[in-house]
Order: sequence, then structure tokens, then C-alpha cells
Amino acid sequence: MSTKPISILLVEDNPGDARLLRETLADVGTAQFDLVHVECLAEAWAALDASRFDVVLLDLLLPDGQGLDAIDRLRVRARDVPIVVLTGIDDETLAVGAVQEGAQDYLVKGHVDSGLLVRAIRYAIERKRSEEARAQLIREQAARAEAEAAVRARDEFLSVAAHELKTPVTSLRGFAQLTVRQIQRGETLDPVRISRALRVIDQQSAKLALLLSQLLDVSRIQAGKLVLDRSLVDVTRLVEGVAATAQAGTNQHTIAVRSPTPAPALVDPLRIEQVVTNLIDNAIKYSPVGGPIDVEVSAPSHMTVRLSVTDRGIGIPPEHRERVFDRFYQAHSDPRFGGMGLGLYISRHIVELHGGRLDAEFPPDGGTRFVVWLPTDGDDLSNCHEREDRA
Amino acid sequence: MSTAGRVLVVDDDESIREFITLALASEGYEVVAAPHGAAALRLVDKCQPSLILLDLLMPVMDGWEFSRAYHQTPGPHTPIILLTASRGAVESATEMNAAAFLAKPFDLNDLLDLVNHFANGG
Repeated sequence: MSTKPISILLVEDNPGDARLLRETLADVGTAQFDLVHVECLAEAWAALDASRFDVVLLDLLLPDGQGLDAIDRLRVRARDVPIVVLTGIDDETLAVGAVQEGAQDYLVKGHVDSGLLVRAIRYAIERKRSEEARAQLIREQAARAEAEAAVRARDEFLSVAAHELKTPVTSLRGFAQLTVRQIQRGETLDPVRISRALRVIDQQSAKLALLLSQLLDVSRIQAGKLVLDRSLVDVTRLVEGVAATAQAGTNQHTIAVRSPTPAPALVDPLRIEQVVTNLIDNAIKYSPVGGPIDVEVSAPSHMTVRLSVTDRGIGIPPEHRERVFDRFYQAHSDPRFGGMGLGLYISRHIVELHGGRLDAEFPPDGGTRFVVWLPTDGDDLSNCHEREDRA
Repeated sequence: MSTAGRVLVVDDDESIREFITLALASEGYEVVAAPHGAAALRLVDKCQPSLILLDLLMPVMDGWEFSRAYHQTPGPHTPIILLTASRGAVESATEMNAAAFLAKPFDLNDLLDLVNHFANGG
């Protein structure tokens, strides 16, 4: 049992009521209570700033605060101090409202004896203490749940990544060991078969390298460590280069680049190349029966560069369109399409790091269009309009 | 022709199907391959293999579904060896009563040892 006196802040503007309350408490024994009396909310704030109170007795009719509003303001001001409302109004509705608003108890002046007052004060303090303990417990549980969710997400990431990496490694190993066996057994070495094996090893190594690089990028993005190395680049030339490389890898698709003018911009050429490659590769991948892929580069103003990649492929089902830039998200989970669903997530992040935007559009006649907006001189795109007006 | 040496390889990755086919063929086995469970079900009926090498994650019909469907057909049933990169390979193997499992990426020699053991015994 605590022997420290309970410190009470009484907020009561009526001197008669205040004196009555002092006397009621005195009946119990003055040693148990330290009473500080103020006459309005403004004085209450000053008192609360100056010292710590165990409980506040609050009149609901104050010159600078009335009814439930007074409780509300007091709770905001002194979050962890219990409130017992003292009022001359005998009103059930107000009583319930007071407790709902956060008061621990409600007492009607003139219907309170010392025993009732003391009990109300003690119970209010205890109830507040257990409320706070419960709130703290919930906060800790939430923090723990969040930490566990983060660990689970990371484990799942690693698990998906591991699975994706194991597939190319399997055939890498397989073809290497197969070829070694043939040599060790002194079989007649067929150059066609050996070069086939080596070609697969090369392809799968390249695939593995791409996957690893994507995983590293995602890891850097998560850690906020993806850094741009900008230089002045003609985006048109860059896009033409990527398109030419991609075209060399397919004879089922026609990649056409339309770029009326050069489009100089201060960007990281390797990273923008990565983005354009991702968009064009996706266009090819998701047009399994071939078809045209239209790439456009333009400079709609001297402040921005616009790039779009349009395919007439299988498109993205409406229910997936919101999530297509999410990590690991694949609108078509058919493993035929390969990859880990990281390309667009990384691309969008790179574009946004440049201060630009990457969006997906869905032409009514099918297929998909990805549009990239890049600021030319490294400023955030949202500043562009302002500067154009001034220019 | 005797089917004692016929192996069915089921995997959605083309390169994996290719090197397994070449490796087993050079050991004297006859190999048939399928890219997913549905194609495998058709082949298993037609070819009566003495051993099935089965991947788990495949489009159209995955390894679990194939195993379920296969074991519902009238027996006897060819032994199945799981080849998988998935976690829980042991649980999956136990669940579908597989004869053995091999975690990807595996050593080709281990695969050949297993095939020799089960195809000839089966």
C-alpha cells in the first residue's frame, strides 16, 4: 500500500464548491491527499506543465471550457492522467458521454460523501494504470508482429530467389557434367553436341547473371542504396541501341523506334538502359506469337523526355493492373514466362530516383503500353511546370 | 521392345529436360519427356515407363496434381523420383510416396545412380 499522498488537481471555478470538496477530503485525512486548486482550464494547463498529478477532478462548467469539450482538451493535454468529472448537472447522458470521452468516473456534486469521493479517486487511478498497461502490451504485440512479418517477407524473398536461381544452375551443372563424362569415357567427341552443351551453359549463365543482378538491385533498393551516376545522354540514341540488340534476338517481332528529335537528358545511362531493356524484353516476352513493338521517344518540352513501349501482346488482366509494379508480381504466373517478377519493380524505382514516372496504359485494342517520363536536368518532374512558366 | 529401360522425364525447363535426356540416353535408356503433368499423364499411359523423374513446379498441371491423378489410375504404378528446387522436398516426397528425391541443382552422377537403381529394380 503506497504511503505517498495522492496529488489532486481540482479544476473548479465555483469557490463554494471548491471549499466543500476540500472539506470532504479533509474528513478522510489530509495526509492522504495533496490538493491543488485552479479555476479554469488555462490555469490547469499551467499547473499540469509545472508538476505531475495522480488525478484531475474536473468541473464541467468552466469559464473557458464546457462539458465534453473540456474533457477532450484535458485528455489531449495530459494523456496519462485519469479524470474524474464533478458536476452539478444531474444528467445520465452527460455521464455516459463523459466516460466515453475518456473520463474514468462521473460524480454529481451534492451527492458525494467523502467515502464515495475517495473511492472514485482511487478506482480512477487504478483503472487508468491498467488501461495504460494494456495499451503498452498491445503496442508491444504490434511491434513484434511487424518485426515477424518483416522476417517472414525476407525469408519468402530468399526462398523465391533461391528457387529461381536453382533452375539455371541445374542445367549449367548438368551440361557441364554430361560433357565431362563424355570426355572421360573416351567417347568420340561430337563437336555439334559439345558446342550445344556449351551454348546452353552460356545461356543459363547469362540468365543466372541477370537474376543475380536483379536480386542485388532489389536488395539495394530495400536498403536505400541504389545510386545514380548521371551524365548527359541522348535518350534517343540509347533507346535505338537497346532496340537493335533486342531485335537481334527475335525474328517474330518487329521493333520500330520512332524518335523525331534527339532527346538529351541528364540521366544514368546504364540504369536507363536497364529500364528500356526491361520494357522491351517484357514486350517481346508477353507477345508470344510475335507482332509489332512500337517504341517512341520524344521531348514534349525542353524539360522532359517521354518514352513509350507499346506491344500488341497478351496484355495484363484488369485485376492485376494495380500490382504490376509490385516486387515478385507476375500478372501471368505461368513459369513459361520465366523471371522473378522483379523487372518492373526495379525499373519504376530507377525512374523515380531520376525524378520521373513510369506508368502502364492499356490500349482498348489490346496489348500494353509502358510510358516513362524523365526530367532532363535531374530536377523533380513536379518542378517542371513551374520552371516552364518562368522560362 | 522391352520397356525395362524406359524413363519418363517431366520438367517445365527445356534445358533440364535436354541434358537429362542426353545423359540417360548415353547410359542406354530410352527417354520420353513432358513439359508438365498433363502431358506426362498422356505419355505414361502410352509408353509404360519403368521410372518417372518428376519436377514439382510446372504450369498446366504441377507435380503434386500429376502424382494424385496418376495414383488414381489402375496400378501397378511406376516408381517416381522427385527432382525439385522447392523447399519441403522431403515432405512432398513422403506425401506422394515417391521412391526417392533429388534436390536441384543435383550432381549428375547421383541422378544416374538413382535411375540405375530404380529403373532396373522396377
